[in-house]
Amino acid sequence: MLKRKKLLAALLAGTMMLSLVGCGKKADTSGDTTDPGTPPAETQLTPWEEASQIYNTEETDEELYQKALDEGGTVTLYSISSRCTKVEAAFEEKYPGIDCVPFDISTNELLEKVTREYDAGQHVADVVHIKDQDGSMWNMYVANKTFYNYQPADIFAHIDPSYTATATPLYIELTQLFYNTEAYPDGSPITNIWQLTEPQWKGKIMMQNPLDNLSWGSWITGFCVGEEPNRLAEAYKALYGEELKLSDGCENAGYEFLKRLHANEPIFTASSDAIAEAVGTPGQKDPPVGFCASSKLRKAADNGWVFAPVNLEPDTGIPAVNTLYVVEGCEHPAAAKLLIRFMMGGIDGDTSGYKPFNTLGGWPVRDDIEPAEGSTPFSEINVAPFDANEIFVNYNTVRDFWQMLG
Amino acid sequence: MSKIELTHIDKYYGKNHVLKDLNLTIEDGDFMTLLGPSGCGKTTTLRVVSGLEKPQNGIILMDGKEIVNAAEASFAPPSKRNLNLVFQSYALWPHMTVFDNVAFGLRIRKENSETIAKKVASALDRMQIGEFAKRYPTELSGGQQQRVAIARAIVSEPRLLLLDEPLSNLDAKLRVDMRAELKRLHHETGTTIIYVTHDQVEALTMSTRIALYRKGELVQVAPPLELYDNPVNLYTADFIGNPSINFVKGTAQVEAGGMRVDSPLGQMGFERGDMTEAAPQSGSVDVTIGVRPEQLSISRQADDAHWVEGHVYSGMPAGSETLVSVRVGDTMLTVKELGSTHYASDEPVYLGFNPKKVNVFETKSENLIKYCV
Amino acid sequence: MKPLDQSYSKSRRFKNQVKAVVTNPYNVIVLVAIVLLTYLIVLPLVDMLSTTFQLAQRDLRATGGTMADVGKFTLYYWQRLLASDLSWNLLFKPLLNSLTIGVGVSVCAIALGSILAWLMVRSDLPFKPFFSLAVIIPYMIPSWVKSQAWLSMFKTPRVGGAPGFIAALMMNAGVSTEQIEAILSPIAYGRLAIIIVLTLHYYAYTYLLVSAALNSINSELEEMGEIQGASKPLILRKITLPLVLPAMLSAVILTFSKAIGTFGTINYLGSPVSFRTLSSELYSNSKSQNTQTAFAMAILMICIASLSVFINQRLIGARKSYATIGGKGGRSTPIGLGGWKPIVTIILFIFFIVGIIMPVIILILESCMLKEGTYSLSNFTLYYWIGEGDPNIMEGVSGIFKNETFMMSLVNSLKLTLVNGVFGTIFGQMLGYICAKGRGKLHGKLVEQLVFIPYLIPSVAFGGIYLSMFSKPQTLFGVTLIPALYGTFALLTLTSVVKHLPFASRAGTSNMLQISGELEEAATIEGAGFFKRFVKIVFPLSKGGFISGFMLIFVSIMKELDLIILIMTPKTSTLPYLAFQYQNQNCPQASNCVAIVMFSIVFLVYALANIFGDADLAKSMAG
Repeated sequence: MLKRKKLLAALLAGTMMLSLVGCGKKADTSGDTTDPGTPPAETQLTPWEEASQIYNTEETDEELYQKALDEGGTVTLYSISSRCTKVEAAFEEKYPGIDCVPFDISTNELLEKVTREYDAGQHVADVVHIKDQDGSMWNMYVANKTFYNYQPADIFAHIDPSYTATATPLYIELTQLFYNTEAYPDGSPITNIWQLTEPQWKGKIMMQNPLDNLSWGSWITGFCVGEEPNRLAEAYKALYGEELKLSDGCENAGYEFLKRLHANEPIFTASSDAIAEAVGTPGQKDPPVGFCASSKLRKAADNGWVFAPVNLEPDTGIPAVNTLYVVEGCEHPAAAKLLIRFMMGGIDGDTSGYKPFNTLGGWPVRDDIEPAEGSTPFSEINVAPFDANEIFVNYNTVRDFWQMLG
Repeated sequence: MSKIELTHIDKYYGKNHVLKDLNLTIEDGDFMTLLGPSGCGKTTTLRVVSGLEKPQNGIILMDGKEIVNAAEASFAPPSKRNLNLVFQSYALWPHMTVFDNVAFGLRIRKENSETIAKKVASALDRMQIGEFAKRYPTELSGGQQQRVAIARAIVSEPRLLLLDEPLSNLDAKLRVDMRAELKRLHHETGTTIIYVTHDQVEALTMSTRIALYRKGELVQVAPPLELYDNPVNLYTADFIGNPSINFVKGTAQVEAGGMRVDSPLGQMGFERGDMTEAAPQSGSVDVTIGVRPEQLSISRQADDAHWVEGHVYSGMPAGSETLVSVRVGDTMLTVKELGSTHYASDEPVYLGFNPKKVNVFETKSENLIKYCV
Repeated sequence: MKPLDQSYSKSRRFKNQVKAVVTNPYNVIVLVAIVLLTYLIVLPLVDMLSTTFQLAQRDLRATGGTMADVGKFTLYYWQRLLASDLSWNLLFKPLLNSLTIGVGVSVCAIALGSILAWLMVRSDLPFKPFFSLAVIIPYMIPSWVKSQAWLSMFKTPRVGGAPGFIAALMMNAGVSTEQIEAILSPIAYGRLAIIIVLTLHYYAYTYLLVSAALNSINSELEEMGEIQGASKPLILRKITLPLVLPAMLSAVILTFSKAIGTFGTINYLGSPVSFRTLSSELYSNSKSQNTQTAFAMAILMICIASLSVFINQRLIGARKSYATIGGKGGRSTPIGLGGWKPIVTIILFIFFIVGIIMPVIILILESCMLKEGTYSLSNFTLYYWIGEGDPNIMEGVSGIFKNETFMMSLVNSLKLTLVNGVFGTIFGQMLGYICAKGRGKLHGKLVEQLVFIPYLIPSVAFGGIYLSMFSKPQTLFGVTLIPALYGTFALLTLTSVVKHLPFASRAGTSNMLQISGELEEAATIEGAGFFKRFVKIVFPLSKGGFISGFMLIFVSIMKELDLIILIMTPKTSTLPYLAFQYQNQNCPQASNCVAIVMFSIVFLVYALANIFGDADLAKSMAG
């Protein structure tokens, strides 16, 4: 009975959303794509949108601080990073009187929790820190107006617009190929991604199973969409001097690469850490190479790992952009905005909110913030283009393709 | 001090028909024994009376007051029936002392502690276990536990006391002692008692009346001696008595004035006055003659009183009495003789009896057609 | 002769019947229990089922259609799962793997558990007190700890990182890498490894159940066999085994359903060789936001487990009552092991050291290593226990005992486990009372079946559904029955209590079965009402079982993470959550510290209960 009600509500909401989007479309017939980020006309604002002024990006830190205090002086952050506790400390120091409540939780549970709470009318989370890996944040949560992008103009002036089209980016992480620098002192044994499909690397590539979670699933999808297949085909030609022949069932070079990679029996692990450890542990005679999160770089010194990332040709796949959202209906919209501004480094030169994320293996999106010491400049790294819509549409197809491989 | 009337009681467990249209009246002050082999419904009757089970059909009156009316689904709870029950397993609460066990019911009824102490002490003394008041049941012997269970049942002075095979867990000697104890208890308190047992000796020695069961039905309700002398059918005759009654097959010619029976025991004539209403009026019927072992006398010589010839199959002297198995034709008869006599196997002997004292049953209907008089 | 002439009033009959039902507290409790269980257990299940027939927005891209189709009835998920090109890889292959794991673990765990139980209960094994304490430990160690220990033992060079202990030995002995792979790989990962590790985890169920059954068998039954001239193996096979068979079959269900539902170990040991089971597909799909597919898989798993329950019931059939035939109180004469005694003792010692003590020691050692995998004295540190926030270690987070978050989590965990233990046990005993009194009757069977369902629903799904259900006030005809429980301790408690009801009520049932019905009837005769009987007779008599039931729940809630992670708020985080967080932050040492604290608490409580409370886990599992 309860479920029915909920469903009905969801359905109604869905229909309303549709009509809303439909109306929006009619209103500005000029745009050929629906843009969930565009604010609707004044008259169409929901009470919350109006009360929270979510589309107002002009407020200053001081104004928001005052409003945040009036709201009750608290803000709740759901984050996929354990570093959110450091943000809490820095935020509370800078803005006394506002209690920041961070909750560190993994992607799946975060989404489950936030949607369940939202559906139940419990507006607990104000800000969500997550990655829009498969484009679903943009295509579902922002489109359904569960999450809102908050993009203050002053800060966004410092960010490459290619990252801001669908999200409020915080920082960029990559899935990179790592090799053991002790076993290969002369540099990486692999430079072109197609080398991974060669027989001598059979059973010696570590990665996580793309079936296991959203981020790896999105990563393999990235190879099969947009410009990337062409880049892969070119890289193949550059390496072997001949055209890539697609086998049955492979639409493009991306699928072909995945098929050959899978045929080379990569070893799947239960966690990203296990890959770093497997590749980076010193004293190995014949260590494997492995794909893992670039953020593992910052653990290298702690754990005594001897490894380095490879700047692969044509690229290392799509980036994982960490993004921030304001949750619809939240009770502390001003504090949420203030927190987002703070986490993104603010505008007053005090970047203490950004610091916890500016580490080795993570790259700032802002042009006025230097990456951590020892980082390869982001511009020098080969990265595939990320298009939230393309990934979203093809995600299931590619995942199913991988599942079919066995 | 209570009269119980059960009318048309039916009890089913699922599809199992355990009590079949049971009608039984227990008079005020009776020591009524429900007797029968295990599984015949006697314990169920007890539980129905106690209120632990609800019958599907029938009415139970207690002193004329309706306590069960199945048709109207009205069942008085056990505690409202002013009775108490002694379980076969005693069901003493292991976490309470003897005193607490006995006092439990009084405390439920919220009697004041002085009264409780007095009543418990009196009940324990009556059962001669006053000294064990502070002990736990597990620290007592089986006989002592039995006494505690009875003390617990009588402490509230119930009008009706129900006993479910209370002696079955005791050794033979204790059992005889407890029998006397219970009989005295009945005599002293005058309480109506319903007693369940499968032991016919217990039934015969203690009861004022016995209700004999067979597969959920009452076969006969009668005082012990009547049940012994004139069992209404072969089943009863066979069940009651130790050693068992002797059955001899024969044929009878029935006439208006009586009947003539031919059997390996010879020819006997019986008058109509000694015969039951169930007896046929005329014609020839197969009958079974029932002779109690103690009714048969045995002699090494044939004479007027010993006319049936037979051969000793085995003799079993037991001090005060001797049981002798004698083969007469194809029939094996047990003879009980007082004193100790030694008979050799295959020794020819002669048996005699008083024809007035035998029972005759119609073989086909199994019913008694001639009384022992 | 039927009393046709008997006049009675139908209205009076009806009135009396209603009165009898309503005034009997037992009926009321059964009714309330069934309504509550339906609400708390069947509803979530129906919710799951209906979800699998409703199109999710994220799958519009696959099915086409518009936003208006979201939530509409669809067979897309089931068709995809059962009858598409993907079915083999998505369902049938993993399902076969699941079944082999389930059967393999059941067979091995039953064998191991039964042998240990027999040795502990029946034989003249020395050091019994020590062994019988040690034998319960696996139940208390999380299975991922054992998986880790297994890998540190057998890991091969192929998967990189530091090789396992055995591989390192072989390398030192000059065995070639290829040979090491050939020898160790089949042991280190995949089916065999998973079966062995899970067996070491789940044999505890069999041990507990079978030893309880063995305890209740009068040894005279065995001695009778001996007098008849049967040899010891023959007695074992013809007398003992059939008598404990119901307990063993009962253990099969618990083991089988747990083994096919488990994820952690399969993830650890199956991933390197791409060994996937239904449970790992379920988790993968759930982590990839394919909630509907994941739920459909969960429902299939529930069906399989229910089938095993059904088969089991058919197999046990009339034998169900065997275990208590002999009753207690019979003598129990240990059976001499003869010449085997020293050998068995040594094997057991080795088994306990390798299988039980070693994982614990490895865990403790790793919690004291500054850097993972470096086995040297200079690497030894107590920082993760009592460190004062060194910015170079663990990003400046201080050791657990100097850490406020840890203290908060500790308090929360203790509160949660204690409160849940108490409530869960009380409800469990009540339900157990219903199951025991209603054995063979419809309501008894119904309650028994209902209560088993939460055992089979994946924890994350269960938690999620509860979060949805109770975040809003629950109303009926406009009357608020339950206020919104979001973020309250009550919701945490409710969820964990219901999820652990299968264990709790199982403990309750066996406990109640030990109390003879006549003890209660005797009180009824004396005029004690239902509640008085429960307080004065049933409860005091079941105190021991109560404590054991409490222990069962206590142990498993202490380890619980998946179930409550969704329901938790930052302020109500618990120890397992903290361990998970440390693991996330790549601080396995701190995570190990937390795991050790959890284990110590559980062990301490168990030992205390054993000493003071006459608790016996084995007793509460039987029945």
